Amino acid sequence: MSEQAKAVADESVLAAAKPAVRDPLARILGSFKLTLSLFALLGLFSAFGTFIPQGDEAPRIAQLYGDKAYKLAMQLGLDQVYHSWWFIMVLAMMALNLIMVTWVRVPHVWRISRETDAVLLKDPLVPKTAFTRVWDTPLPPLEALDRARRSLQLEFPRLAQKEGPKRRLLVGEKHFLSLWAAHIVHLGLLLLLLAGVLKILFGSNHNVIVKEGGQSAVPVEQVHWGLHVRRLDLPFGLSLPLPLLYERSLDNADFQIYLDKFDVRYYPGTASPSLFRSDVKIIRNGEIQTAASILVNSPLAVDGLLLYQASWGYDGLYSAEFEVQLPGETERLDIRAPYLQRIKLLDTGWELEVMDFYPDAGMASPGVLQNNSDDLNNPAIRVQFWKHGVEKSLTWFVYAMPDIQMAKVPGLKLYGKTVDPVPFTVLQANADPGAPIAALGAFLVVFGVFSAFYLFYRKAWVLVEPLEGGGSRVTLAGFVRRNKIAFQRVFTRLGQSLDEGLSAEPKTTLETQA
Amino acid sequence: MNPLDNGFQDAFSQGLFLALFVLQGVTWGFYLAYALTKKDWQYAWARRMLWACVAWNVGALIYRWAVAGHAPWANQYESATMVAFGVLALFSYFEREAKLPILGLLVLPAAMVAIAAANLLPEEYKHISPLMPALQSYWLKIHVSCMLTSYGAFASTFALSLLYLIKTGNWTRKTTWIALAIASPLAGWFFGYVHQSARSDFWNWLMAATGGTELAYGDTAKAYAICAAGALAIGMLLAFALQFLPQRLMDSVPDAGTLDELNYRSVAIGFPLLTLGIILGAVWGHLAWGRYWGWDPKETWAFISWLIFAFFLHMRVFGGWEGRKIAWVGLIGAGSIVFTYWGVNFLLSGLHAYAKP
Ligand code: HEM
Repeated sequence: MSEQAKAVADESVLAAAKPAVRDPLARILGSFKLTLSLFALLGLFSAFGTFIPQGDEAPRIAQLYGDKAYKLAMQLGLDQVYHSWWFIMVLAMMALNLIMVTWVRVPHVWRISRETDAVLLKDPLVPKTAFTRVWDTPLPPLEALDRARRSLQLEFPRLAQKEGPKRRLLVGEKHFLSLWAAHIVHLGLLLLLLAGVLKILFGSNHNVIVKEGGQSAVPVEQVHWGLHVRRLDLPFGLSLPLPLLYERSLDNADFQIYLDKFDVRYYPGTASPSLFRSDVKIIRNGEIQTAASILVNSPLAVDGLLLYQASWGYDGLYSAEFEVQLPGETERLDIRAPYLQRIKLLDTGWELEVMDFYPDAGMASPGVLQNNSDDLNNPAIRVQFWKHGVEKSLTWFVYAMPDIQMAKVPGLKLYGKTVDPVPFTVLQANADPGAPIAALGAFLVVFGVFSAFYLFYRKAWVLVEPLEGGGSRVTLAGFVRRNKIAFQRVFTRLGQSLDEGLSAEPKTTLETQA
Repeated sequence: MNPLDNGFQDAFSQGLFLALFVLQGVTWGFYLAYALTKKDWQYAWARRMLWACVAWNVGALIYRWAVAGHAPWANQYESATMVAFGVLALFSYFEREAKLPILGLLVLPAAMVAIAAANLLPEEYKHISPLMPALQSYWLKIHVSCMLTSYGAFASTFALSLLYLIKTGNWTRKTTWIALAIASPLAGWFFGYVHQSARSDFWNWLMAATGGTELAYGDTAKAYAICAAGALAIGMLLAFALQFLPQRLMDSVPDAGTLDELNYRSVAIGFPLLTLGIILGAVWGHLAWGRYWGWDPKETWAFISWLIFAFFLHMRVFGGWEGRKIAWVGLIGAGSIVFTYWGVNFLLSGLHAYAKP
């Protein structure tokens, strides 16, 4: 067999052999070196972003690495690694690389099956990567072929038979899908990238805050198709007209959300919430359309928007309960005061009003209170007192610190019992037109990866050719792209079966290579 | 469920995992005996014990599931016991194919380290804890178990890569010293960091343990240094002990080519699981947080590990890398998995911060 023919045989069996590409740009874009560089870059950039707090978290850079680092990071845009132009460039290059690779290789895979057979019919030598065994038997070729078929069928139920001028070939193949698996994965990856682009271009993601008993509009990015020209500002006072096919604007959705009730429950004896839930009504044109509950893990779909439960907080009070000790009295009065409403304390001549509420009070500086969050961690109320209509005191009382009484009137004390705060819910209104494409891409990636690694493309063939002095030479060959160890066992079984099948007067030469 | 209400069941559940550790140790003993003396009955027992470990692990997980009322991989302690299961289960599957008992000598310790690390966590991390709302979903069962099992698969990759390097003389006794000299103080520092940030009785314990050193309460730098030094001492002892492993152990290790092929197979088992786990996580993220991908540190590091193993596969199959280079990539990938799993939870913050009580 000529060296050239051998090379052809090798190449046609190996999917990995490199098809020739002439255009230098195409060669770079489709090169494996580029793939590896992109893997490395993507990994490095991604890791980078996990050590530098991103987006809203960016101020933590200063805590972690100092003020200078923070300034530098903000200047270089390192707080937005995953949205930076260089990160997007890497992803875009990856997409190009994948497209090129697919373009060049798919036709190649297509040829593998057919051409191997054709080459083998012309020349009995098999690629050096394959497993082979050879028998010389006195059986006539047709008889030998028949026996070989029975053996081969043990592993490959469906066999194809091909005939050349002198030689006959039986080919069995399994898990052809696996040959395509890599391309299925790559296609899936491309779809995932495409979905990401669609999300950036057309997606919408805004928070909606609704107070219990209140109603809020839902902000959503609307896309307006048509030709729009925007000016792109360049340095030195230049600008470039930038034609766009669509424009986006932040509008309100056609419906509003009314919050009936916000419910949060805790595991007994702990501060860990066991559940939080917004009971909402969807209001359209002033009428109630539907009522529904939104929970974490259970969003609500309205008009192509998905509403997610994000977080909650407290703003204002329904009422507060506390005890008041008036100057000169020993008995405390039990009070339940509605928010922002002046009430009389029996007939003592005193009046009070709860003027303000902090759900999570903390000291800003000695004697100065501030609110730290919307969580109900450390409630405090600000109460104004009057006596006979004359203003006496306006101060904060922190529920958890009954020992600190800041009222200016000696003997006037307040002891907090409970508060009934007004909750608000934070919902996220998302639209992501890329989601179905992402789902398809994800499916293809998983499907492809499993068929690549849990199905093994394997191929075995038997070549029967007449020997000059009568009888025939039977060559058994097998080929796998991976998992040689498992295939070795299959191949051994096939060989043993042929040993028996051809054993009418066997004259065997053995030759096995891995 | 009230976390304070199940004291006995909680302790019993932890006891079951401690017992598992002992069982793993015994199994390892059988593998060692077989590697040294090549008696078939020892290997048969090693296999039996391996299955016993898997069964015990499953039983302990089921018990925990029953008393906790939720899938038992909702915090760091629980997830480590699930990883141990992944290591053992996938190894026992893999071993049947590989027929390579010596591998057990390296893979079992990975499961033992998982259980030991879980037990070294501060007390409050080990309790059965109630589920936060974001975790109340059947996706917890699917996504997390898939991720944790895939982590387990890469224990075999780690073992095979290491074996390959040892076999080919690229990993010498000196490398062991160096590796342990670097890894053990890091582990000690990490131990100190986790304990002190959990504000358990770490300080009292450390002060008592180091009677002589004048450790001031709250002096974290010094506390970490002490932990690192202690771990370094243990690491050096281990390195010293390893010198006495007889060279004969390597006799049963197959040729480098077979190791390389098996290494590839181990990634071929773990990689699809990791891929599926990440995608399932994306689906869950879509449902719970309204986005399927958000570059949260945990997501990002899972992605990086995935990239490393994708690199491994591409290089192995199409890039013409075999043997030594691929083995190093395998080790780096395994390291990245460990960081994804433990490092991110404690060192980086993000939405996936479920580890802490
Ligand atoms: C820039 C991106 C990428 C390029 C250019 C690329 C290129 C290639 C090439 C040329 C092959 C050989 C295909 C064949 O002819 O059979 C391949 C195989 C494969 N690729 Fe990629 N790849 C890329 C990214 C990825 C990623 C991120 C994954 C992640 C899963 C992946 C998964 C696979 C799989 C599973 C195979 C089959 C491996 C095997 O047969 O063992 N690819 N890739």
